[in-house]
Amino acid sequence: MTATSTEDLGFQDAQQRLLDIRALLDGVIVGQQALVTDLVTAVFAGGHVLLEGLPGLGKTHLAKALAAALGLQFSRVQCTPDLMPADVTGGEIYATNPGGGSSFVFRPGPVFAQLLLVDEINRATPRTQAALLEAMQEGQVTNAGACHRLPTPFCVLATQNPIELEGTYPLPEAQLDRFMFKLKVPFPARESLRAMLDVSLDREPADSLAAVAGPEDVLRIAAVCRSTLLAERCKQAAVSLVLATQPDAGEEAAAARRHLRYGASPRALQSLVRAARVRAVMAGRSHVDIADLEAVAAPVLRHRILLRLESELDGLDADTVLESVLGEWRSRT
Amino acid sequence: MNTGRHPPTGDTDGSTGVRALLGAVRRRLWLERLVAALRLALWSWAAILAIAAALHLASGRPGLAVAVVVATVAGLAALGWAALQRPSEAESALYADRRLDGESAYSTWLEARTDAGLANDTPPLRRLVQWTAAAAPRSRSTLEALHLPLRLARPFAAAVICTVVAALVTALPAAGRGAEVEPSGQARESSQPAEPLSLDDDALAQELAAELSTPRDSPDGSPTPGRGSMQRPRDGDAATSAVAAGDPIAAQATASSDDARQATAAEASVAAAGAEGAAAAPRTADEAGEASSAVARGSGREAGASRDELAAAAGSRALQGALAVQRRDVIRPGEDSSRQADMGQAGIYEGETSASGVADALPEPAAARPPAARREIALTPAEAAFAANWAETARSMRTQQR
Repeated sequence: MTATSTEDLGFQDAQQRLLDIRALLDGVIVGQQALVTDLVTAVFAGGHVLLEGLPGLGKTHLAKALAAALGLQFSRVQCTPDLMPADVTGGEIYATNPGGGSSFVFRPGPVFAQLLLVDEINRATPRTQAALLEAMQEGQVTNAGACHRLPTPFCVLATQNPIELEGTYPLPEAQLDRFMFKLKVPFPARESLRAMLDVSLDREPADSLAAVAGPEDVLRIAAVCRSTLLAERCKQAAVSLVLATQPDAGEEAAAARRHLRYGASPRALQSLVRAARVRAVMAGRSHVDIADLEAVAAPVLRHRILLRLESELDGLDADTVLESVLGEWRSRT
Repeated sequence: MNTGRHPPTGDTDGSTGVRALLGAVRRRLWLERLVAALRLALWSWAAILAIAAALHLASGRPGLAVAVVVATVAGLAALGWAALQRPSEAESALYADRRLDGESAYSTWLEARTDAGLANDTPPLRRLVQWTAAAAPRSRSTLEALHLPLRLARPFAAAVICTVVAALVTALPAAGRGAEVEPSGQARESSQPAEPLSLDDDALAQELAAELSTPRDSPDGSPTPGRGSMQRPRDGDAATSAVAAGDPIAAQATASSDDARQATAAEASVAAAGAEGAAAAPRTADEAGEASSAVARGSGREAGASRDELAAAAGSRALQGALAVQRRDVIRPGEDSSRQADMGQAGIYEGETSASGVADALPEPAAARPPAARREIALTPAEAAFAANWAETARSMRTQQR
């Protein structure tokens, strides 16, 4: 019974830690509660996040604050067109041994961190972008025939600017699919802008942020999230949601049939359920609800669907189409 | 939900409240289905009675009792079906999840209890049991606060209105409705005006006698012998032989086998029927034969040698065929025997197609019978004159035969 109480306490502790982390980040990133919640969800679900927003909205600041709050090893890569893959993953250098002699030694790149911020990822060349594929999916880097494991937990936060697209390389679909969430950083409301002056005018809050968890806590909380119960009804609902985005699946929503060229992938289904589990723990439940799936549907699916050219010319975007798809899916479930 | 040692059992885990909640939800679902079935029964009642009223207006059937029986059976079937459909626990859990703030906990709990491979001592399951035990009273109170939507007013009103309408429609007088909808033959007869003829009685009598003595095609629809030019001499021979044999009716029937000779044949018939003498018959028949030959010259192969004459002859043949068909439509085998009242047709029977056969097969004329008298119909002067003429003719024929 003692072990059981400890486990129960661990579950409650996981929920409490999640809430604490969120509250801490809310205090640093003013007026972005939804963004912070989604970011925490993705990190504890073991996913990577693509942040999209205009310059100056605090994307880099948010990444640094998250790393500080979780006590994670943080590194940053500023992408430019001349950035090479070895600049990200690392490479072998010719080094002299202390005892004399010399040999090639692998020098880890910035990807060997627990929280990697890839700033303006769409300014890197496709070759460099592809260098991140293995790291994001497999959690390892292969160099000169040798595999090097990345530290755990490992999370990539990439940012991109939706404007100034000249000289950029839009991420290919395969690269986009590696990101669990694509989060849009909205412009803060008036009250948030006003509060920002009090919080971050003369100091950088992230630099003085005290960690409320460590890497082990992150792994433990992630394990608790993975143990949540998933009813058959919720599994079917998740599958239906993914199929609703497939234009030719037979169960597609009307909006998907009309506006989408490609729908979400099976990897999206996995991301959907994993993220919904974290949401359930944050809500104090050990079981997943349909509402959890719905809450994470937009950030999971918005970068995995491809609109028809006609729909894009009509001014539609992925969020608008997803809203229609979710409305129809909600009525089905 | 994929590993474990023991299936969850017993009520020690606080499942009593959840069980009670699911039971209440089950009863509620059953009641909702019954109400829905009652609603369906009322709508079907209204629809059946409306359809029955429409059918009754159109065809006079069915009656109100039949419609009521059908509607009652349909309604009882719907209610019985709903009563037999007991909601399952899964449906109850789903209802509780959706409408009682269950947040999928009851479905998950039910799956966990029915899943034998699921452990009951894992932290998530314990947490789930605690969660459901805490949420069950709240869901129970929510369930009790939920108003059962009856929505029976409109179907009930529709059923009442349709019942009243159907009762009124089926209570309408049948005779009046029948006359409005489909007038019977008797009504049509009575609706025709019985105006007396204004023509001169004697002239009308003569005309009627001539018309009744008009020859008809053979009953089997075969072309009348002698209609074509190739048959013409035999017609004349048959008529001559018939008259020579002292049978004016056969002579008339044979001689008048062509349309073009109708008037002449009628005169011959009247003359023969008037017993003016056997010598007059051959003359009349000859005249009829001449008329027939005159018509025949316009038809047949021997009508002419030129192309125009042949074309005219072909057109004439087609016209004759059309006339023959038309007449076959009028006279068919096995028709009412009252046609035998025609004195001109007295010697012609079914199956006899040639005038020569008539002379051989009729040793004596058929007994003509007057048309059946109907008490409710008064004879017009023209009809009375015709009857008198007919009776006189028949009497004279019998006298001659004796």
